[in-house]
Amino acid sequence: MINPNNFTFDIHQKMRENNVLLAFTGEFDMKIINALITSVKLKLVEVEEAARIQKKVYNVMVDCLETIFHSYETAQRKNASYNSFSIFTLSRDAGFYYLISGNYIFNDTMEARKKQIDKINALNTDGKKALFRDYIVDDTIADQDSDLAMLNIAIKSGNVLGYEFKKVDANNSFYIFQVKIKIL
Amino acid sequence: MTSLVIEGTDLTPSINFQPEKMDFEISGESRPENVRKFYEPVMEWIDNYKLFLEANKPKQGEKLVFKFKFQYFNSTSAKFLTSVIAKLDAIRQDLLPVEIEWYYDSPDIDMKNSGEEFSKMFAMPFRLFSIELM
Repeated sequence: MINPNNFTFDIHQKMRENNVLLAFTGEFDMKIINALITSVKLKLVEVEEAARIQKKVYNVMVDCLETIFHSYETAQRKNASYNSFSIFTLSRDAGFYYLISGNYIFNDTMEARKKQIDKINALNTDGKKALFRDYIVDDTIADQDSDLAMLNIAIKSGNVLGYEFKKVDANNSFYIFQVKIKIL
Repeated sequence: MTSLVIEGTDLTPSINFQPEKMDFEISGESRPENVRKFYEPVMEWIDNYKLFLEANKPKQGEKLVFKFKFQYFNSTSAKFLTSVIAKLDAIRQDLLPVEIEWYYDSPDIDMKNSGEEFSKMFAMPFRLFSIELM
């Protein structure tokens, strides 16, 4: 096992180097999500002068965290052995805020997730808004609440949604989802 | 017709529907754990109010003012807000003028855009107000 002191120091250094404002790893239940939302709200007031950006980061972050929770609920309904250990980080550099989530997904749902994000990324702003309107008036189009949340994130962030899948074993992959918000 | 008043929480909005004054307001944060459970009684109340208006014809010149003052609503809430606005649109078309006032925190461009989107969806003019909500 890695020396826990070194490990903690390494994480701390890496978080500093990457301007991580907040990081949480563990199981995301509603209590944790609410605590994170409150922490980020306070943190943004501290680090971000532009109220407009504070609001935007907050709006996108709530949908990101809820998406992790929806994925967790859906996966657990499908299979009780689902590993719910997830991560969320908020960081920034000179040009952008980065909201990154990571959670396990079953390999057989990976293609559908890819298609869903690629479809959103291929649309321009008006196309995204039109699809959002379709989703909210017709329950049968969106597969689940996470489709709607994902689209909302894309509209509000104004940027392409990033993703990556790290294969863990024959059944599971770790799904990393990245949203960028431009600091104006 | 009795009023509908629901206290807001960190996760759910305040509801204050005062039919006597024709004054209706939803305000605060909307990200309930169970969105359907929260909004269903609200929509049912509006359905009953429409029936009430049908039975008690509004006086000439009366109008209904409906205020939305959200600090935040999640995407699932947007589905239910669409249903609420659709019900208001039906009242507007069948019974009496409805004025929708959409308030947003001045730096919150996303909230302003949401008001504009809903207005466009229902071809219904919204009055947009930029205020300090934070």
